[in-house]
Amino acid sequence: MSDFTPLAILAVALLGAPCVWLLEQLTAGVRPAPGQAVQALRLTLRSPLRRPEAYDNVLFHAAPALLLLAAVVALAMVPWAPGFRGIDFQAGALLFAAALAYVTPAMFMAGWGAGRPLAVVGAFRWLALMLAYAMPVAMVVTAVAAPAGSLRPTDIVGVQHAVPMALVQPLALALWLPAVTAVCFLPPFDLPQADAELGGGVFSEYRGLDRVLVTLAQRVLLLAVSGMTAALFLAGWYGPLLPPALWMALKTAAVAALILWGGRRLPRVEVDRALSLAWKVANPLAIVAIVLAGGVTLVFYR
Amino acid sequence: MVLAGWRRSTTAALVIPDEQSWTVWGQDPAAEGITPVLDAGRADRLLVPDQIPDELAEAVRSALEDVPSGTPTEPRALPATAGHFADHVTDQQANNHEHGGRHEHDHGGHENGAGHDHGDDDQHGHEDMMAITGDPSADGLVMEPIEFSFGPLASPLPGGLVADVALDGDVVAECRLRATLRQPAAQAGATPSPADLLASASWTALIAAASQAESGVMVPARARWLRLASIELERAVSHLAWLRALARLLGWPALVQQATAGLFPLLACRHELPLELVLSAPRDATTHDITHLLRLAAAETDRVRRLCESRRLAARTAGRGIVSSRAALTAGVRGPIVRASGVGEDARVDDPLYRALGFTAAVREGGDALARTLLRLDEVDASITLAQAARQRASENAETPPPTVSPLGMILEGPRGPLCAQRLRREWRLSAPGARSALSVAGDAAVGLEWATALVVLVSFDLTPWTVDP
Repeated sequence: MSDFTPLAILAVALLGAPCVWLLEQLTAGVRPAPGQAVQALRLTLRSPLRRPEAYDNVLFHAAPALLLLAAVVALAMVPWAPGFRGIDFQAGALLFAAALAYVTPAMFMAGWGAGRPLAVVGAFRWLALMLAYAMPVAMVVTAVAAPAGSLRPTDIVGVQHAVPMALVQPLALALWLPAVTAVCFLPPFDLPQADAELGGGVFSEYRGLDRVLVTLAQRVLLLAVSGMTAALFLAGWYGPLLPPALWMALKTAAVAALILWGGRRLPRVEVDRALSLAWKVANPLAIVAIVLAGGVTLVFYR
Repeated sequence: MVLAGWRRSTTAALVIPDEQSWTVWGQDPAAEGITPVLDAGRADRLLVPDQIPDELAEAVRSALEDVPSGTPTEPRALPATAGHFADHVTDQQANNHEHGGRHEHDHGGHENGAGHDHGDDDQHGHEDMMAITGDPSADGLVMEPIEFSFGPLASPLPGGLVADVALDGDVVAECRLRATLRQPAAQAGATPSPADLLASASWTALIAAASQAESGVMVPARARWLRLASIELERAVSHLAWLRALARLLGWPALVQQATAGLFPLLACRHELPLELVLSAPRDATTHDITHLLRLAAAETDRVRRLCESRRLAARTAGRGIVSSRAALTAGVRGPIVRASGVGEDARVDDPLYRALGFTAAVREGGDALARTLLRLDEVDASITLAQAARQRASENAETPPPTVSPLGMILEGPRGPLCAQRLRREWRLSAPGARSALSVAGDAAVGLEWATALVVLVSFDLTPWTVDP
């Protein structure tokens, strides 16, 4: 297969989501209980949808679908192995960042549509957070694309056949990981849906299929950003002995596990602190990373 | 198996009234693999006491409707260690019959398109209907204040506590706390109910001691030592259960896990020293050696301390919600809150039994949320040491100094401050000095803070939902 068909992308999403669930259990030090999880899923699916009719019903129910769509489009940009990749766009890495940007309206629609005060607070938190973290994501993509001279993810993987980008541009990786964790609204950046602070925040009103779509979208998002991290920084499918696709899967799992494990070790970041870190530290450093990337490209990749 | 040593899978549950209460009552939900969630939509189970006070009845009913339909509901008998709710209780079994304990239940309101009720009747959740007043905010920008009530259930505050909040953007403009649960402060009879079910062992021990002192009953020395050990174990459990609630609010699973590891041996100790045995202390009764359990608890608490003394906790709590010693004393706040502000006031200092054990009150400076957290950890350590020493003295049947009863009644230092019992004619007058002041001080401390920080500050006061003062 030279290119993923839309069905194949959906298959990766649907197969990858349970794998992310498994990683969640393992990083929490919990014995996975698939039977219990299936039972909980069935319970959620049987629950009727909630209709916050006094508020914006259309936005409310469209949000989970848009969130899932953004996650699947991002996933489609990930190159899994030579000849086994998603949509092979010329500017795939940029489209990946653009797909992640659609998480922002989806989350805002969810919070605004629910109409509850703390859901709206969660929505505004997210808006502020994503304005701050979208730029580091885009700038880091630019930095790692520079050595390849291309925004095509397969080209970026190809340029790492000798040395992974994580070793060449560690600063870019250090900026990328917190930013994509924030995009996946995972701890310690789970500010818009913080259970104890906002009682579920933007997702507090979702029941039934809506709730399942939100959970699925978050796992697909994590799968997508982990896969793209492996592609952009860890030399993608390159590695000895094992088949390329397996290398890529292992690296993706390792990144996802790292993100999940880190979230358990740290308390949730305060919104003020998260914004301050983004604007005062991450964004200036991202510019530095681009300058460094230019220097590295001139010296080693020409 | 590779995963043999791993924790078993957990179930997300809406825990009513709250996890901290069940733990203090001796039934830690975490021991059964229950992870409490506040977002009803994530709950796969509902844990609820079989009897609930009238004040919470409406909120519980609302919670039953808010969890996904078909969620198993588990009505559970209130443990004997909890005491009992006062006169007016609602039979939860009747509600469960209506709403489906372990049955599928169908909420026509949602399906018929009536939608979720965002109105004022919706008490359980967190928030009521958004109220927009349009008053200008302090910084001159025209904002739309969001007014809502947080509680009395499914909030990080203990079940029964309500915060009436006005948000200016995401900053708290106003915060008023209400403790909605109440036991009669004046009670007749020889054995009144604990006035605060979050400190039921301390209240029970106080009332028993006061009653025995009044009637001139000679209490065996062993019983007095064991009573002290029991009170200290309750304090340690209460503080660690509170810390775990704080860790859940902070979204910090590592601290939740470690606090839970500290709670398990302490709860086992309390199981070995049941309050009935402590109060009566018959000569032939034997109590198991709890030394190894206390050692284990001390070791786990050390690990909790290492996490709490890291910069990770300080980043969220240092400098937040400062209550100066002067402000605390002026407001009449007592207990750990005032000790975290540098005031070494503790009723145990004047107790001959504690003096015999060389007790000195723990004090911290700063008066912020971090100081309150670390002070309670200091008190957990002290309580474990005191419980061990008291258990030792009990086994040796060591002599005890005679109990002292002041004309103002008997005073005992509970987990949240002093508790008083005074006999007036045929009634017991129970009071918890400083409890009411703590509510107003905590509300004031939250004003001007971002919502999440304000919640951390509110929780850092370890407030009780029970109104004790008459």
